[in-house]
Amino acid sequence: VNERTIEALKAADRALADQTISREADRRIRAQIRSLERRPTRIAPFALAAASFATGALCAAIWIGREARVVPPKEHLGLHAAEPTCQLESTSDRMTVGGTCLLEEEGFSILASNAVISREGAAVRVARGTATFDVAPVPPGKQPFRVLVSGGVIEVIGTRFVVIENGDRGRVELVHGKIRFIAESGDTSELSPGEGLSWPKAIAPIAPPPPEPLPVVEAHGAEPKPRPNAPPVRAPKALEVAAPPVEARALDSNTTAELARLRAEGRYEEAVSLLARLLDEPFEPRSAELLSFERASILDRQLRDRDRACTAYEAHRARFSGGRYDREIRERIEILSCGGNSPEGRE
Amino acid sequence: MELGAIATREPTEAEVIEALYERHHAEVYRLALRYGGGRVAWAEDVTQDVFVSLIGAVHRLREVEDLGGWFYRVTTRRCMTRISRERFRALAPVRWFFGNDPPEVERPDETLAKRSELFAALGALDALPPKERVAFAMHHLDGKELKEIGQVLGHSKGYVSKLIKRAEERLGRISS
Repeated sequence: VNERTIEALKAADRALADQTISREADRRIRAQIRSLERRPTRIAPFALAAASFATGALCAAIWIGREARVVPPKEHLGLHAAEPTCQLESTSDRMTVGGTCLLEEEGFSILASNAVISREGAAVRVARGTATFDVAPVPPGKQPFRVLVSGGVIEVIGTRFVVIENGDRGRVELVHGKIRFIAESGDTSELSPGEGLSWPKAIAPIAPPPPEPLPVVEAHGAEPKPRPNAPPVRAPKALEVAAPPVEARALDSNTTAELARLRAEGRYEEAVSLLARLLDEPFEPRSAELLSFERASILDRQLRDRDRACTAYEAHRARFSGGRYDREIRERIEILSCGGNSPEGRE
Repeated sequence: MELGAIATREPTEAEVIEALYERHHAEVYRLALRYGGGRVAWAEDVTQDVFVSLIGAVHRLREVEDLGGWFYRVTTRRCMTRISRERFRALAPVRWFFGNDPPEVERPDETLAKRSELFAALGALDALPPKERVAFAMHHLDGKELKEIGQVLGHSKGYVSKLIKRAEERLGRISS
């Protein structure tokens, strides 16, 4: 481009600079500027959509927040504690149940009482305490549910049974269904309903317990006492004369669920009343023992009613002396200083 | 209306924009007229766009020290965008797809101006692609540095230099 062209352009530009904006345009632009402030804010369509979305999101957040406030059942080692009031102390590998707790998982539930429970893969280990298992039938071809105890493994096909574990010795009692006990030595033993088995010594299933309550049995010397130095137990008169009811029944799942519900709702007095009524019914001895212990445990740990708890513990000991919960009850009686004397002192 | 005249109270946004219009519209209009090839209606539209677009953004101008320079850059960019859009719409496939816009009615004063020799040179500038036109005009007519041109166009100094060179070659061919 030559200088002449650039000069011509500069001259044209200067000529343009001399031109001013027309009056009409000037008026129009000024009017438009002034009108801008008076113009109502136009809501853009996207703003409307954004506002709708924000409202929806807010509603969703409120709803989620309300849902989140509903406390879901606590999970411990993959087990849901059905009762929010359960006295559970849980670590990464084991849980300690104070009192009685209903623990649930798909396929089985555990009514654990003063127990220490851990998980080993799909299996459940009862390290200490009493645990009543209710296992849904296992389909053929699938791995059976396994409960690990100090004396071996209990394989479950689908049943209800009670495990009592004292650390180095224990016992399993089958309520109904079928279980197989595999001892550490490799010996296996299948149990039928009503049968029980103790470890570490006995591997053969023991005969079903006699229908009489435990104190009567012990008084007659039909079964060896677990502790040779235990003091002789005086069975209450009423139990000595009362013949076991022929139609004695086992604890059914409806009753267990009702008790669990009352516990979950914190209706402990009603639970105690229900247990008192149930104890008047003709339950088979082991169920009655569990119910009696449950009543005393609620009075002690949940209601913290020392006097009534002491009475319940004493009544339990009198009726089920040398029973499954004897050790726990002795400990509690000591802790509560029932009657101001040690249990040994009263005996 | 001057900014100082409304300083006794908090001016409204419209008052601030009107004051800015009062002070800077001539420069904006001149630039628009240049890049629009002398088209008055085109330049008026650009001027209106520049000031109307300030609504809602006046508070940002309080931090701008050189308002003249700011209007220069904004107007130049707006003109370049408008020219690019027009050139795109002038493409045959686009015209076929969207249909032909009605031709702009040329005002009598524009017709008269274009007859003069001065505006013939401006017509040659009008033939340049938008970026080359802006780079050439900023460099040769406004004496701007390559760096400043690059800031307006969003390109490096080297590329701006290339754009100016291309524009010069193109104008040389047109004038010869």
